[in-house]
Amino acid sequence: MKLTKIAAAFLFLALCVTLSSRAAAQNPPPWMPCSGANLVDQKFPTVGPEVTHWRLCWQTIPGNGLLIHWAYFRKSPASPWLFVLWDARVSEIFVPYHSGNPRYYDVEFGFPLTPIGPADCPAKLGGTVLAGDVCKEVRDRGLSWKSDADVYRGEEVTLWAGLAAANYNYVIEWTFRDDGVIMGRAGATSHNLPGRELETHVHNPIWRLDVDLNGWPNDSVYLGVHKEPLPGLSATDSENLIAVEGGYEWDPHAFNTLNIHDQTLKNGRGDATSYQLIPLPTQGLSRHNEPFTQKDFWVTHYKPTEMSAKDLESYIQPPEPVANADIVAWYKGSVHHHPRDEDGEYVQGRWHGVALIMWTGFMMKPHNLFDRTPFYP
Amino acid sequence: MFVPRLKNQTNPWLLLGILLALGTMISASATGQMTKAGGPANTQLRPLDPLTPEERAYTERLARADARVKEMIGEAGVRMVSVELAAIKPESLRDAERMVRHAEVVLFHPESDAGAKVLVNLQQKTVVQASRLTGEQVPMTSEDLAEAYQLAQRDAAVEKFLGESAKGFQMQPAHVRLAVRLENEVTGLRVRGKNQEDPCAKHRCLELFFRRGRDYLSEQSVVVDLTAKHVYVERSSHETH
Repeated sequence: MKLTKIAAAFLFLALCVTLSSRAAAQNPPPWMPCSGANLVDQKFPTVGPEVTHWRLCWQTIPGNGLLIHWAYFRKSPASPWLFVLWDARVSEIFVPYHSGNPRYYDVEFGFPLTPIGPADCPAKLGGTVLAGDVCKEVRDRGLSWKSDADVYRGEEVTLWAGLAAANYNYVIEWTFRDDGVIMGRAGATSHNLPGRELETHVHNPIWRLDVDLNGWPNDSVYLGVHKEPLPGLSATDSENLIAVEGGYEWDPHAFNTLNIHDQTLKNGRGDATSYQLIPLPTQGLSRHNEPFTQKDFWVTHYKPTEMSAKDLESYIQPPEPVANADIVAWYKGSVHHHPRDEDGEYVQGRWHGVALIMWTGFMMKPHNLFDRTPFYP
Repeated sequence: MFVPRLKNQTNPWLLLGILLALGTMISASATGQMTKAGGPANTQLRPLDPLTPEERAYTERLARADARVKEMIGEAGVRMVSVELAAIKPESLRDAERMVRHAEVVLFHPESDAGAKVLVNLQQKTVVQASRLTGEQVPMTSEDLAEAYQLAQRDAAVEKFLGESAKGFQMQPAHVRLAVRLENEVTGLRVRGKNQEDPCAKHRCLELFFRRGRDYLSEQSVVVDLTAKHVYVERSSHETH
């Protein structure tokens, strides 16, 4: 009798394990083209049952620094994995000085990465040093939402690396948030240009973002536009299809965004899902003599040989159709560096001091990806 | 004996159920292991895993030995500029698991001021594509920096600027930065001409920077024209704009 009870309990336990395995197998992790330290697999929240999940690959290349390949996001354990990015990188960092010369292309030298150690990437703050030159930080990102007494603090996983560009360092940073947002930032720091320490200049990182929402091709890009004619009290928002390759200016008064849609992708409520590329400028966006700096956004048809931001003008001649296609979005940010005493001082003919880090970047925000407010009870 | 007692005391259907459940558990566990790894256990490199030193070496060998490359830039005096993993996008996401590892090599022949970009299929160990680059399109490397520094050391104005330590500056090793700061370091940035008359509009030119301890020397600007093997030294402006 005792043995029968034990056997029955064992049978029950076995059935439970079997059923739970089957349930977990509903949405197995997608195949990834990388492994080991180059594969980042991060669920959120970091403590407790999973809600959202990122899986992505990273790679480092001299010059471009830290690249992201192949990013998948899952909005809930029962949802399918959504392919978001094939390749995201800083394509160029163009640095013209106010006197007209020099005009540096900082990516083309093929600069190596700076070493990263525990002082850069402290474990006690969620940091892990990957391969000696990349820092992964899993961290609190502050308030995700607040509603009177109810509140939720969000989390994110960030990968960053430093590009050792002679006297300068660039920090290339990629953040993947628990709410599906992707953020790219570039920070400029270290020594002002020897001999021209007091000359104002602009660091212009240009990102090449090969977004493949739900795979490729079949993506389309729309320019998000807010209109509020004055005098008047009402406003409208629209999305205008970008049919052919081209460059676009960002109008902050029009809240312009580049909205990337997949032909078929909809959320559980039947609404079309998109990712919106939103500039996050600090102070402003530059215009220089070089044509590739005279637009803020560009949309091109994917071609494996078209990787260089400074050749953007030639990539769109003649303009090819980009509706329902394999598209690449480009965005130029700017850091206007007006030297200040905080950058350093001359001591016996030498420049002593470093410029504190200055950032510029963008956000890629999901729109109608979730069916409801994420992380809301 | 154990078995007869079991036969006497246990329902045979229950025993069958246990055996079936055990079988299912083992099968579920095996499936779990496969999905956790994203597929069957595979010790092979995945398409976007970093290049191994062996792959870098044979990629360079393949590129240098390719007939098209030899025709473009010759064989003698060819420098290796870079070897990097290349992510070649398949037709669609469904074909992703059939992706093949590729690497891209850039070679440079300073004498003819020409380079070659070579795409290598690492699985088949074949050159897929080779295209010619102008000197202007070839990235600078630590070899260019070393050459520029050598040229600068022979220049009297540079020697005067740097003093006794003119020959004592060190470079970071290629492709990796040391975790410790070099006491006297030379670095450089590529410069292009101010206008079309400036030799650096067409030549490969580097501006050199000299750091002692934490501080850069800033009195003189040293630009080296690697194509013409010429050194330009000017007093820095220290301008404010």
